[in-house]
Amino acid sequence: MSSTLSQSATDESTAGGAESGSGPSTETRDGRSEGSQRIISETEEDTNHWRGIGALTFVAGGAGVILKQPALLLAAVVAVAYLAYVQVTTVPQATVRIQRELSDPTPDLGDDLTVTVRVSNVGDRVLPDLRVVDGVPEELTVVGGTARLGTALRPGETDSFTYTLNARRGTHEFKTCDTIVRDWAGKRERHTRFRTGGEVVVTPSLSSTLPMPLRKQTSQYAGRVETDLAGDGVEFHSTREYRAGDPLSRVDWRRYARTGDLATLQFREERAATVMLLLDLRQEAYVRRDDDDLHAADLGINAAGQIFTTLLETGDRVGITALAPQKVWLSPGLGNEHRVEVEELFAHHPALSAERPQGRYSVTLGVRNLRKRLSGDIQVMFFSPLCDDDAVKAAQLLHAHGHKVTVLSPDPTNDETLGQRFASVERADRISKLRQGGVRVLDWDPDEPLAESIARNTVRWSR
Amino acid sequence: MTEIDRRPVRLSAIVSLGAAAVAALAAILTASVGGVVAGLGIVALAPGLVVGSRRLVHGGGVVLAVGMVFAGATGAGAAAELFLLVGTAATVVAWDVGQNAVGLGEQLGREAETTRAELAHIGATLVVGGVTVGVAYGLYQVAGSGQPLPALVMLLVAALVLTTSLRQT
Amino acid sequence: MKSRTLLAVFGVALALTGFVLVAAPGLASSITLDEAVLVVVGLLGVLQGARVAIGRSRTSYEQVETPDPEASQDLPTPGDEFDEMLVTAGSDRREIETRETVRTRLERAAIATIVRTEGCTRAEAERQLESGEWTDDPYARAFFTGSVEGASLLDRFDFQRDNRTQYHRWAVHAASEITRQSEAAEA
Repeated sequence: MSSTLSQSATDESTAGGAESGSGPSTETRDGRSEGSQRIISETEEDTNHWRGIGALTFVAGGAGVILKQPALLLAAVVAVAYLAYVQVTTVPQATVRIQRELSDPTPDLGDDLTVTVRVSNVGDRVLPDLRVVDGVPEELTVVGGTARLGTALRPGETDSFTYTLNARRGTHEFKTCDTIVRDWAGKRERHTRFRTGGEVVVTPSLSSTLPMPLRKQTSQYAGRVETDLAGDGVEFHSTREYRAGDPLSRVDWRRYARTGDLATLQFREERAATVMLLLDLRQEAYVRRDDDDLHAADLGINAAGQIFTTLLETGDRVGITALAPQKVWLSPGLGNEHRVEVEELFAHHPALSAERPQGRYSVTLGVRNLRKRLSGDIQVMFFSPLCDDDAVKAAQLLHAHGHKVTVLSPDPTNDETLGQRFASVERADRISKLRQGGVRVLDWDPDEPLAESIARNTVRWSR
Repeated sequence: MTEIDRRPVRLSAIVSLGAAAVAALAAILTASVGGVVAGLGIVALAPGLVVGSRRLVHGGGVVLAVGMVFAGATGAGAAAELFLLVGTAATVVAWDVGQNAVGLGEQLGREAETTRAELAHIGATLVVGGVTVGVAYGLYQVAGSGQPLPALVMLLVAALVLTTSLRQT
Repeated sequence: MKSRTLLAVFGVALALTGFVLVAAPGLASSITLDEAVLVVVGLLGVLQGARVAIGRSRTSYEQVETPDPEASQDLPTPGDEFDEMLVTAGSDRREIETRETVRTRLERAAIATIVRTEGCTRAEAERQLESGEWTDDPYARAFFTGSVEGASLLDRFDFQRDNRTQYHRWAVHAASEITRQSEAAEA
């Protein structure tokens, strides 16, 4: 008896690390390893499904005896048979191997991605009633099919189901896959949760550009930010007396012809900006208008991605950091190597995954640390829904420290309930408060393309 | 993707209703009073299977069973024994498959592919019912109606005593 | 424990006898059963059946509830927590902390909104709020001043229709009025 017990224990462990059961060849054939399949938890319970079937025996039998009706006594026998049937069936172990296959291992943003899940019975007992609910990554929504299957598998048999996901940016890990195994009669069920590993990585294409206006500033790099300094550039600024060494192309020859004085033209100097993109990835930023919309943190990340590309192409130095429980930091830089680093960060950094973070985050501490790492002339572009006062505090602290701060704020508010409308008012108050304090705020309604919103605000800012 | 449709799965719901219809027919053929009661059972069962109410499905099954007992108590047709055997088995099938339809609907939803699981369950229940009906009716025919009543009474009492003792665990 | 074992043994013995009688009908003919015994046993059977059936009706069906992995994670919309707070603070006067939070938020929003929409100073906005000049809604006014003025007698006798407190009514009016003014200014 003890040997059978230990046997069933090993059965269970092979069910967990299922690939050891039928060899690694299946893994390589699929072309993608599913990682280790492990049992996270297992519970077994009575469904109470057949409870009370005995009542039929007693009532029919009792009535049959009183009335001496053989038909009723026969009817009682039927219930006895079911009672016996329920007693003999037992619920098997969840001896399954679960394999997922993606239609496209490297999907692009917005693609439809088909997931095929194969469920095989690797044990030697029939699984008469196997129900599978796949662990679709949190922030990916199923747009076609359902991630569920109800099947029955003989030993060695495989069944599969498919569903379609819409690819959103980030690294999305598959959650636990739930299986429910029942016996033939459905008297008991065994609920097993498998960790299967595997993830979907959607890299945003950092190609689209947005003409985000930067704020005036001084820096030693040539670039496109207009300064009030006279120097090299294209826009006329002023003239000054010629000094030896001034390039001949800049001598004001017209004036020389008129007056005979040598003077040098000065143009408005354009300089490169150094910009830090600051993402708001605190729990408070994980809010959304409704379930079909991206949440505000994700909207901010996407906007930051586009703006990053634009700035890099115009020769500005851009870095990325975040107000997040996890550390996110990429110093401002230039060039292709930097671009690759940022793409990597957008696709794989855990803090930028679409899932709401667990830990709380102190803005005061976070901004204090941030200020230590930011030199004074760095502009900050802050991506935040501004749905709590701490976000305002962060922007104000940075502003007070001398950084030029622009807040790009995706608006996640809705107007269905009084509270939601009130939250919208509070947000408007925050924006107004920031603007009065000298912080530039771009209030972006995500229903409108970001480029349009920027264009409209640029007009306002230049007035 | 909005909410999952967690109503009972279709195939099992249809089989359940079909079995209930067979049961009602058997009851009518045995005795019309039983048929009326069994009909009431279908009235409860059908909406239960549409909206996914365990109460209604269970209640429908119980009323069907009561209808069977009524039919057996009052009717004594030519083949009352066979009709009642088939009817009782069909009642159990309707009740069991109906509950399973609700359960599958709750766990997996109506849109999921559940045919194989449903067929396995329905098949098993049908086989048990079929074999029981066959064996019981066959034995009944062979032994004739001369089965000693004391023996049956003894068996009933034994069942009573045993279940009472087991229920306390 | 012991009685249960005895009962089980008795049951098995009865069952065995029954089976023997079924197998050998000749033996059974020697036993004659009174009609009354039959009825009693039958009734016992029916009663036990009813008991089991009722017991079953009372036990609920148990099965694992499956999650909804197809949908995105459940994230709030800004303001959902404020809706909840209004309900909590409105339903129980012991919720002092929640009431305090609601009051602070409403007051701050009211002042900021008045400043923003009227273009006046903070001090002026605070004065308007205290005097009640900021709105025509007597209940919204009352939330900050503490008393209803200007409402008709009939209005005041509301009889608390939906079992909500006066606090709740005032708070809802105040929030609605702030929201309305802000939205009107934006449009």
